[in-house]
Amino acid sequence: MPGAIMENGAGSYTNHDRDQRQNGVNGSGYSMEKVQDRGSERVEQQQKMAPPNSVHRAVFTNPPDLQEQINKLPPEIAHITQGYMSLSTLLKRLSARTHEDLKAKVLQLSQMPIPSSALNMNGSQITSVDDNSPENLSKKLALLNFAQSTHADWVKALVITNWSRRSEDVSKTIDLKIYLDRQKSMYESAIHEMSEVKRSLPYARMPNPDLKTALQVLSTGKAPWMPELGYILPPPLMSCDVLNTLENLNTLLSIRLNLHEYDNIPLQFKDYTIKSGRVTFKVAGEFEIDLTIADEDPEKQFWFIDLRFLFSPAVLELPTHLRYYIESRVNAVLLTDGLPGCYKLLHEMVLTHKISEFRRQASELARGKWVESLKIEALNRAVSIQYWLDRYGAKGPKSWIVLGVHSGRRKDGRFDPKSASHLFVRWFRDGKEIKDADIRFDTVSLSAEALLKTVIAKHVAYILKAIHEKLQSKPLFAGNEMALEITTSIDEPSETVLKVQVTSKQTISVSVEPITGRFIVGPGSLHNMRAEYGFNSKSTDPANDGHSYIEQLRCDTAADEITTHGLSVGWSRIRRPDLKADDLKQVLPKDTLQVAWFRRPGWRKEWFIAVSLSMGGDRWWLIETLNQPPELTITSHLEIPIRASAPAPTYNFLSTLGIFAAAVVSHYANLKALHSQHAFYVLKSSKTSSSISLPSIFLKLSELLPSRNRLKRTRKPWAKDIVKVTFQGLESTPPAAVPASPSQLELPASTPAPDAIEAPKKEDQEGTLITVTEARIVVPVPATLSILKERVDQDIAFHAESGTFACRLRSRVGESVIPVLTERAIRIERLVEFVEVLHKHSTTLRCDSISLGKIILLYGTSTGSLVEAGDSIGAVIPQYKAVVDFGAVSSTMTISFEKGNPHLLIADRLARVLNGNEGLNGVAQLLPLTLPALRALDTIEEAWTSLSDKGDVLVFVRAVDWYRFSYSLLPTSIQVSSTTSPRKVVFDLKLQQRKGEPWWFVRRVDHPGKEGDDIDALLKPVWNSSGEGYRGMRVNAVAQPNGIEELLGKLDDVLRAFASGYKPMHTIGQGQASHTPRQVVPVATMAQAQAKSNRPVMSIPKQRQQPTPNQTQSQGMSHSSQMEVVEID
Amino acid sequence: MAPIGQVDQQAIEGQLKDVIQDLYQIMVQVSAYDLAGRPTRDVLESNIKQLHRSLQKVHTTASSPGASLPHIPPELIQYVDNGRNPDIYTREFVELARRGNQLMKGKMAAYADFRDVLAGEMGRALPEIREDVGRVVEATGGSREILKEEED
Repeated sequence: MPGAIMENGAGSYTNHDRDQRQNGVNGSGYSMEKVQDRGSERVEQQQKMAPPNSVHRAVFTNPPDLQEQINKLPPEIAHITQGYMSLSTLLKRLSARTHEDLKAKVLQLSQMPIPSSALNMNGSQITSVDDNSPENLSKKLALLNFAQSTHADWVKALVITNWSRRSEDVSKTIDLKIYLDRQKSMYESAIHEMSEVKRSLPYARMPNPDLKTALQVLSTGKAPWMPELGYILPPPLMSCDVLNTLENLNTLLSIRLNLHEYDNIPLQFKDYTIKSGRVTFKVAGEFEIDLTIADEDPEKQFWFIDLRFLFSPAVLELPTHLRYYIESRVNAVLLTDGLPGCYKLLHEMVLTHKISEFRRQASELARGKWVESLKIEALNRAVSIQYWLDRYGAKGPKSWIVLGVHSGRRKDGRFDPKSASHLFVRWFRDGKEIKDADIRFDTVSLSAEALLKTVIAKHVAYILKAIHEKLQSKPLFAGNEMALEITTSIDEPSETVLKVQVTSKQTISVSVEPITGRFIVGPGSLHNMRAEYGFNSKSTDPANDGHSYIEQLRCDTAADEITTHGLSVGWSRIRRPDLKADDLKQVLPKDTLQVAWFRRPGWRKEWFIAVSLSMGGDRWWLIETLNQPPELTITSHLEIPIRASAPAPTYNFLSTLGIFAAAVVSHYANLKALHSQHAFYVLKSSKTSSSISLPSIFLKLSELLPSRNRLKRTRKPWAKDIVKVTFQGLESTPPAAVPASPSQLELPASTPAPDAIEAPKKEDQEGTLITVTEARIVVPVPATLSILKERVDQDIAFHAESGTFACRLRSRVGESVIPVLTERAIRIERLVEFVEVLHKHSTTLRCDSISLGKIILLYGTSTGSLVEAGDSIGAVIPQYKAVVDFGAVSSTMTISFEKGNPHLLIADRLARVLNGNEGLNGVAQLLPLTLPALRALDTIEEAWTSLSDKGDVLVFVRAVDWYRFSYSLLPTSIQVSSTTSPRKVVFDLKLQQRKGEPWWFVRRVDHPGKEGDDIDALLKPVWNSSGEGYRGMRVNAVAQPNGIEELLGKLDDVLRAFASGYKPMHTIGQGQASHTPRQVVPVATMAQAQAKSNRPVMSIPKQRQQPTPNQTQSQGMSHSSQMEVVEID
Repeated sequence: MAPIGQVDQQAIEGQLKDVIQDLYQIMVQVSAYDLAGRPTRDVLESNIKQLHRSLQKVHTTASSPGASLPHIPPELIQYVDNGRNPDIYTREFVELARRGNQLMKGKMAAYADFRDVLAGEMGRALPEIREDVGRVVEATGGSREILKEEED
């Protein structure tokens, strides 16, 4: 546009509306133009609002009227204001800076030192000639420099300002120039576009049809200007010619292969057939290739015809493009390397193809059946297949195989014509390559799944075999206690199963799921599930730690089985007692994996049974604990000896075990008790039943008994010193019939059902188990004991022939039977002693019944006294019965008599004798000895009962063989008497010994005076008489036991008569004749018996005497010739 | 020259010149200081005061909102700062614009010719698009005559 250069600056204020208004105020003379300008300017402004490179500018055509637009910028010209500085700002800043600088300079000057001359000058106002002082000069210089530089700046500012008058025009020029530049570039781009069009035109071209030639050919059939080559047609091929050629080819091939190429044929190409003019090389499992020749010259190459793969899956027919490719490659190789090269090429190609086929199959598996457990990665040529993906988590070990090509080279690097490269699998198990794994897979019919299964089967077998090996080393399996079996399969991983017998009945199978590699523990149960979980979630190296899960499982299962079986036979499983782990460690073997705790109801609380389960077998422990409040401590532990290392917890076994454990506990308690008593004992094996063998304890009786196995009487051992204690079995008592303590079991036999009399213990409701132990004591003198019954007691039996006592001892499980045994032994000792005593006195005493608790003696009938009694009373005098009770160890023996027994009188004395040194022997001696006297006294007392108004008689027992009976005779009306008080007549009856024989000595002890009284006179005949078994001694009388009764009867007769007030008329001789029918024992004179016949009889009130201690004065005679009485507390 | 803003331009120029003059006076007074004794001191003082006033004036004028001073391209300030003549800058641009103008004119003429030739050729070679070609020619400032001429 030629009119683009404008001189007029009318549009110079286009960008500031305000300025124009100001201008309007300042210079009103230009208002007309301004109005016009403003209008145009608005338009321009609106256009400026549009983006500067807006498109519509480009299509703007030339404005038709330039003149109208002369004062305005045409819309297509962009006004450039960017980066322009405002002059006013410049000046403002400049003036401000100058002003600041000036101020600073003035200040600086004022601070500069003023020369002295100047000061003076100031004062005097006299002009000095020159002030060349350095201060002055520097001051001037500073001011000058400032002024100069500022001057220069201001000059520049003035220049700019001057120039700025033209800035509007220049600005327009600049805009114009930029517009022109843009236009120019548009033209250039137009040229460029055109060249582009030009360049693309050839492709858009269509050749022109050769109409001329076409016309010629179509009309005339030939075009003379086209060249004629003059080919000659070959003669058609005849089938015989073809056959000939082919046969010829066959021959040639055959010759060539057998003669020329013989050395060249690779080993793998030895299998070939020549047929139809081609040679077919067959490489088994890989491919088949048809080649032929095109020339007779043996140096010329073979030519490719066809290729077929001999493995599956593979394409049956090569696709065309592949065939072309292979053909060209094969022909090229045949040309350069001949047949070996051809083989090598095809062989490697086949291998690669096989690998990719494997990869394809694996990928398919990874998408299908084996989803999420395979990861296929193509390496350079090989392929890696990772299986059991995420089996052990992201960080766990990985397992994979790499299928690649083994070069087949020998290790020394030499070429081996026989070996060719082949497919090869490297197996990385848990991240480590397994070098010697012999992985076989089919390279002809390819199957990735079969390959994987083979590898996984090996992996599974490896894991299970490792577990198997580890388990096999455990004693439980090493000793063939439990069955352990592994079944492996080469190509089917799921058939590889490890069978472990965990208990006698249960067998688990461990296998691995091939696809995911997770363990399967069967058959399903809670424990198996837990083990399975452990295998799959916790273990990262099951080959190494897998066995521990099985061990744990075994222990769990075994404990379970014991618990279930045990529950039925009364074992109750309890939680682990609050024992310290350290304490337990010391007790239990080190390889213990689990401990099951049991308790038998009925046992003492401190005894537990613990089963320590380990792979070394289950061991059973009896553990005794001591419960001191802060903690529970083990006081003792015993291992229950069981032959099998892992016994099957059958019901039978467990119940036997219960018995056995109880036996062991009791045994242990016994031994402990013995040990604490420092008693010597020996253990000897004995068999009580088929399944339990527990040694019997042999111990010395002499150490057990306080009496040291010596009879008091004889000072000789009463039994063989050896006691055999054997465990017999268990009894369980219902809670209602629990004996409170073992001692109460030892009740006398006569008390009914000793086991059932006790009240149940409140805290022991579950019932109590009682161990039954047998103790055998052999007594060397069986003859004397033959009177013992077979069963002495409920719990004691006696075998007369061997002289053996068998005691049944009962105690709670865990309690010792030794105290009981001791007590029993003491009682047996007593029994034996008693029996011996009885045997000695068998003429006078008869044993009615004998038991450990008491002996019932019968006496009084074996001698003539029976007849006598029958005569005197007129009725059959019953046998007297004495019951000797020696119930308990601590308490004294008691002797008791039935009502009416004359011995009641001296029962206490007898008891004292019984508990004294003499024991039963003394009693047995005394009983028959004193019987007649006592019976006589009894009779006397009875006789006086009816004469209570005349007087009475009192019998005092001074010792067991010394009695005093006193008559107190009441005065009667008939009797002339000076005294009103009852008259006392006292007799003394005492057993004395003369020449080894017992004699009763009777005398009157209340001597009124030297000369005697009327009673003496009355007694005279008695004292002077003598009869069978007795003899009067003038003032007293003696009598043997068989005569004392008669003597006393006579005496009493006298006194009764006296009391009744008449004199007996009978003579002594008559009385003697009538009352002594038996033989007279010759007696020696001891004393003179005196008797007085006539005495007034006084009626004495009958006073029944009881053998109670308060009536018997303890005026015991300290010494008698025969006996000693020692009081026993 | 456009009269608008001329007053400001003139005024500010005068003020600038005052400032320069004052500075010059200071320089003169400084160099002549002491020679004339006391009067020089007063003169210098008054000169400095004068400069102060002048600066104030410039500042007031420049910063007054009414002042319409033009904008300056930054290249020009650099020009002047380097001590070169701003007119050269102006001339350069004028020169450039002139040359570009001539070039454009030539190019336009040449292209118009090329367009006509191309249009004619296309009209002949591709008669089926002749109408379109004609429209393009018209739109780009040519006339259809060219095509018609060729047709004949």
